[in-house]
Amino acid sequence: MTSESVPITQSPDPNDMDDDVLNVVGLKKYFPVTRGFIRRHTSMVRAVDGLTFSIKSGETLGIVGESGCGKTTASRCIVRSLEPTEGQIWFRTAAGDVVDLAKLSQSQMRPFRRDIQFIFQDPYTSLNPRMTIFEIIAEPLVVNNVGNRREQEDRVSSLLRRVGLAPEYMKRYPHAFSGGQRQRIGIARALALNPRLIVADEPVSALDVSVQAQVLNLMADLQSDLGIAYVFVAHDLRVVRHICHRVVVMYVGRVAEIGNPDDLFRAPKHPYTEALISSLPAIEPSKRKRGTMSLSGEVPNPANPPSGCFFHPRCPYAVEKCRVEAPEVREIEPGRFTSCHRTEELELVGSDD
Amino acid sequence: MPKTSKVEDKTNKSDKHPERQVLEIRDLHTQFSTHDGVVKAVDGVSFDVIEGKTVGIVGESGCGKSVLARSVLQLIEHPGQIVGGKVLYRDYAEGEEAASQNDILALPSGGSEIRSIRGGHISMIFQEPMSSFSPVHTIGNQMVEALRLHKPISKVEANEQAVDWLHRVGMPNPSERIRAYPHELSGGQLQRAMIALALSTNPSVLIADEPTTGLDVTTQAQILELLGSLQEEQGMAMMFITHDLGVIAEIADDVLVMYLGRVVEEASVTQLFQSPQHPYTKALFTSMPGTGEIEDNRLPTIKGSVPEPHSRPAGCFFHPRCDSFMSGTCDIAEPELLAVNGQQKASCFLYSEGE
Ligand SMILES: Nc1ncnc2c1ncn2[C@@H]1O[C@H](COP(=O)(O)OP(=O)(O)OP(=O)(O)O)[C@@H](O)[C@H]1O
Ligand SMILES: Nc1ncnc2c1ncn2[C@@H]1O[C@H](COP(=O)(O)OP(=O)(O)O)[C@@H](O)[C@H]1O
Ligand code: SF4
Ligand code: SF4
Ligand SMILES: [Mg+2]
Ligand SMILES: [Mg+2]
Repeated sequence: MTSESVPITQSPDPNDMDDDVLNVVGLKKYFPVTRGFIRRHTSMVRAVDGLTFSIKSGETLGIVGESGCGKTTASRCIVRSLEPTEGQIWFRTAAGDVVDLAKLSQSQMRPFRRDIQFIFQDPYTSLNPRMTIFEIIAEPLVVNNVGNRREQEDRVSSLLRRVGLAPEYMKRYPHAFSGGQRQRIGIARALALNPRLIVADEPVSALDVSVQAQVLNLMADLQSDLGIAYVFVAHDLRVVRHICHRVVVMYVGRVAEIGNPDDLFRAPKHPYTEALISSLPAIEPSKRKRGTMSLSGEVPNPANPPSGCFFHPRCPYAVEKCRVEAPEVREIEPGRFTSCHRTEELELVGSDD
Repeated sequence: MPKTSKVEDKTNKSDKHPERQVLEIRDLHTQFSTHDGVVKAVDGVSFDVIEGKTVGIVGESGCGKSVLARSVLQLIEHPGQIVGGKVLYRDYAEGEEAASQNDILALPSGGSEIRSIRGGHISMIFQEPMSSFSPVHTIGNQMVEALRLHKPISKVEANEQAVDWLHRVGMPNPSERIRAYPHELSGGQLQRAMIALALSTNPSVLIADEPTTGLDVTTQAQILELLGSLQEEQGMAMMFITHDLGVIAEIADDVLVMYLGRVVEEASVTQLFQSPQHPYTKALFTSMPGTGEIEDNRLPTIKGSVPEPHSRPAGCFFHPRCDSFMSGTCDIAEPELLAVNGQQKASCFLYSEGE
């Protein structure tokens, strides 16, 4: 394996973090797998294999890629519900200190848990059906011994109002709520301890477009009022384009491309980004894409990825070099990173819609 | 983005025959008795399914799309009940004009006639492929069994046809994959297998209930492409349910927009996208990411949410959320679905003043 993950120009030096709230450097997460009945043979699933990116405070960073590309694994490492295998996760605290979360033990992690919250993908299974809405939203307060019961109730009412729900809902159970309302409850809970960073794993993927728009607007409002930074995992590029300041396109645990969403969309610099854009359904029938589909095949199994560039078996532009040599992540313009051998020679097509 | 006038119509398929209705759904009513009250999940829906064409059905969660699809095949279980309407099916394979017309809803439930229609003449695919497959049998065994239920062929022949179908839906390594169990396939492969299973009996109608919802855009594009080309080869009709207008733009010829159990707009896909008429349809379009005007980093939304299905508002069901609401009209009378623009229909008092 020639692929050593590449330190991008950003220095891991904490003093260089400027206004970054999070600086992830060379993050890896390998899961051991045991296969075969006779020869119990252990290998590694390289779910995240060298990710580097940063987020400024009050900004939204999108992570996109097909299912199985490692988005959930990466986001769970950031909130430390998974133990990273390698890499650094520099986090700037409210006091301005910079700590590497990857190095902390679970108990050392405790004071930082308040600052970093998680929102789950599935609003139907992420709320405990036996807890009232009050218990769900107040749980982080109770766990961290914040306030007495009365203060907690006041806080929950104001959080419910903040996310557009009536405080009376406090006494009800989750089954009484629609998907969009449950996602609001999840957001209220995430807000309880005034976090500075919220990691949201596909928070709107399970919702209707109209409800999706309401939840996205709520998240945007909270960001402008409270200055929260988001890591926003999604597979809908149009949603990402609308709400993110920067986007990381991931493929099999690695960075394919990083850039601002409009640039990525109009002029992708990596064939995988181009393929994701060309697969979006048309926005009107006269622009139907049927018959022009470019991307075939599936995401390879990260336990057994292809040689060279992981995308080469599906890439229409692959050449011999792609089969043998893993491309490094390069900064081709300020803030624009890509990991393709052929970026400069290719004229990739984006979309105006 | 300007709507061009020189729109080249990519939606017309070459018509070999004049339009022939395979299904005529007339005034269908399906309801559920719950302890909160009666839910009129499908409340007087009528439309035609045309040979070789796709009718798209779109609307928010809970508006009755799935219940409509299941009603067509008499697949409604307790506490649900089909309480009115007809589903007229015409089998052109029996010979041109002589084709007899059968009311599927009048067939005895559980009888041999309805069973030969289900999965034979009319097949269905779902969002969750596991609901089509049993986890304890191989894909191949299940396909062979389905084929032999509907065609008088030997096991060997059925097996050959199953491999052939897996090949046609783009399954990698079909002769090996046929021995796989459902859990051994990826989401996209399982969806392909389900399509192969549904189409292997050469149905004249395919009902697809959100078959690409929750899949990656790349897999979704592959599946839509596949369904489109199979439709061209087989000439089957499709009833395609989705909540995604982008998917409608890709695959539908005609579109029904549903709200709280009723059709609020009916149009050709081109008409619908060029000039949506019903305020609900317009609102759905503006909340679609990538279309509406974005001000202040905010997406346009439809105010409020879909009301509880057992207590629908008086008058026009959409009135509490409608920006064009006319007090004294919209909250009093129920608008009818009427022609507003050639073939295009909408149920809204903006186009037909209430009495
Ligand atoms: N078994 C049932 N018991 C009671 N009510 C039901 C049942 N099945 C469906 N309904 C009700 O019928 C209405 C229509 O449901 P349906 O599943 O058809 O919606 P849908 O348009 O397919 O929504 P989605 O986009 O979420 O799939 C809803 O109000 C639903 O709650
Ligand atoms: N606990 C685990 N054990 C083994 N493999 C895992 C585990 N969690 C995730 N993976 C694998 O890691 C890869 C990335 O998964 P995931 O992060 O869930 O992707 P995404 O969120 O992008 O869909 C997948 O191949 C998945 O099967
Ligand atoms: S390195 Fe080669 S295979 Fe990989 S994306 Fe670029 S052109 Fe395609
Ligand atoms: S009838 Fe009235 S309330 Fe209903 S959609 Fe038309 S204008 Fe809106
Ligand atoms: Mg995930
Ligand atoms: Mg449904």
